[in-house]
Amino acid sequence: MLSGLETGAIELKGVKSAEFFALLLQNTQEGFFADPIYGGNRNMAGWKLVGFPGARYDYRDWVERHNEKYPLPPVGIMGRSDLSMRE
Amino acid sequence: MARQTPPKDVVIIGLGWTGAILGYELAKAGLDVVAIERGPWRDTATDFPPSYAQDELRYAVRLDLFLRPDQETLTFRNNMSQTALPIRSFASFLPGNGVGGAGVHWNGQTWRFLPTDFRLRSHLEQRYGKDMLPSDMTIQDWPLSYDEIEPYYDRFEKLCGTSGKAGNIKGVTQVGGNPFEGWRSSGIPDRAPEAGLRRDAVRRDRAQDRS
Repeated sequence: MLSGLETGAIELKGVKSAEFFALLLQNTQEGFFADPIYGGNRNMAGWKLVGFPGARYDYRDWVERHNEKYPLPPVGIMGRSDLSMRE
Repeated sequence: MARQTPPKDVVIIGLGWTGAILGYELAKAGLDVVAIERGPWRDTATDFPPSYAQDELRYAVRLDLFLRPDQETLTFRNNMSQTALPIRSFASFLPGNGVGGAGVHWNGQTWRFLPTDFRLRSHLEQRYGKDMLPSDMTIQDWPLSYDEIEPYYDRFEKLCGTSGKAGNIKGVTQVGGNPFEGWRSSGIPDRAPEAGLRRDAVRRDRAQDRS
């Protein structure tokens, strides 16, 4: 069904299925990688998957440090996953 | 029923980059000024706090600080054979919304035009001949020169805190700056920032300045 929507093979009423699929895909990505306050990316699973440090503010000390693993865990707007109130 | 407010000397429509500077200068000159801005008031602490300014979904994707396409809808077409249709999401340009306008989020680059840019038609014709430009091309010279506008470039850069290294001060080429730029009446007060590829060049400049 997903590939049918993506190619436009499936016909929907009132909207082009390929456009609906594109929006669905975009929203899925947004939910998975946006800050956990939006309901997705629970416990920063999406960020941990790609090694993204999250909602940190200042990386100036790291601009010159190439090919070095960023050592700190991901942080969301509400704090770290191990400190958050959820679960 | 329309609301009538007390009369003012000046009414400015929109309090973005231009409106704010205009309002400040006119008020400083003693005029009674009111600015009318469609969007919200913005404060640094509440609108741009480090605690959630990095919310990518809200700011980079949903463009929270910018005009919504349905507030001021623009239509677009690529050529005359198409019917212009509404732009549903802004991308290549982001009109501002609220106090500060698009100035709340700008690239922070204040490059000057070259002196020849102000007289582009004359310059191209002199350099490449009068036949160089197609007859239907509308390139013109500006009605003012780089020399006339230079004091205002200088003033604006100092207002913004532009940083960098001047390459040409009153016709004298400066080491470490861009040797091709137009003349400047003064050096750039703030040094170029250290991060990135410019770091070694900046350190070299500072070593030279000290020696």
